[in-house]
Amino acid sequence: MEGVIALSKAVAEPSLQARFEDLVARHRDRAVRLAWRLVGGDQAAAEDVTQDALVRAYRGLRGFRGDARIDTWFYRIVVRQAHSYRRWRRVRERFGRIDPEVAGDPAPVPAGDPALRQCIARALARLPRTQREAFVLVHMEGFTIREAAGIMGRASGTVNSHLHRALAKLRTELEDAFEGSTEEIDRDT
Amino acid sequence: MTHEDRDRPVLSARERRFVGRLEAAFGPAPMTPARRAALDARVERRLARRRWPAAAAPALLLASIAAAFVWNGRPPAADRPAPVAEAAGAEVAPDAWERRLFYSDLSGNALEEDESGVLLPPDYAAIESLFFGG
Repeated sequence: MEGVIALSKAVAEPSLQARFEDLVARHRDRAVRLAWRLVGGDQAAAEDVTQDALVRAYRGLRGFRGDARIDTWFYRIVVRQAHSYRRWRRVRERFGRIDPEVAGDPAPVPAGDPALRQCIARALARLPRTQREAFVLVHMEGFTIREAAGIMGRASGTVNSHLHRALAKLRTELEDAFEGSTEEIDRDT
Repeated sequence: MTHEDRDRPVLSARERRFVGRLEAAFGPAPMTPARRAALDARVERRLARRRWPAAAAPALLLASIAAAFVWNGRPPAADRPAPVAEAAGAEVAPDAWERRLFYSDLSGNALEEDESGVLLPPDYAAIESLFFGG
């Protein structure tokens, strides 16, 4: 938080600054995790998305009227930024430009099987945008259906339907990757 | 059953296990304090950079209004002096200066000849007259 706290002296709008600091402290890490899952498991990209979302949130905070909860509003920005990042990444890949990893501290390597992670990332990438967002928000990030609906700007029923479709597709796609565990699941049930 | 429970998707035991495995296998490592600090610093830098255009906006606005006044205050086209080449009615072939430049005798004093202005095409002669007073 040191960096963001130091900003208060420069911006000189204490109430806005306090709200922003609170937002950063409470939601920064979850925003990175959500972005990581939405952009397909890339730590540097997730941090870029979060950075953009925080900057947008700060600039929009003055006009935020409180119609929605501030966290819903902020995660909506994160989800949109992640979508925007995915679109631009496709363009960058087409023209052969690959962004280098941020210099300095290397990205921490997540625990677990990298091959399985790749499989899941590909399966998520093949889902339509709304199904992917609904699945990540509810099943992976633990938002309720109502919260996810608020973040996605859709009705709860629509989100529920996206969740069912996404789950069915992912189970079909990842059957091979989860073969061992699927047998385990079958024994359990 | 609480209100929040009703707001969660209803999954079978198999689905719950599948989702649990997926969630466990596909998540980032926790952020290190160094990366967190670096992210905060990048956000701070970008927000601080924003202040410059905001502060400069009134100056930029004044400058553009002044430029618009100057532009509108120019004399009408009829009052402006005609470019020298057109006024003199000099007939210069469009590619004469190129031929001269590329195919002239390099042992001669080509630089002085090029500066005579006669060899310039009309557009360039007009520009020259604007800058050097014809």
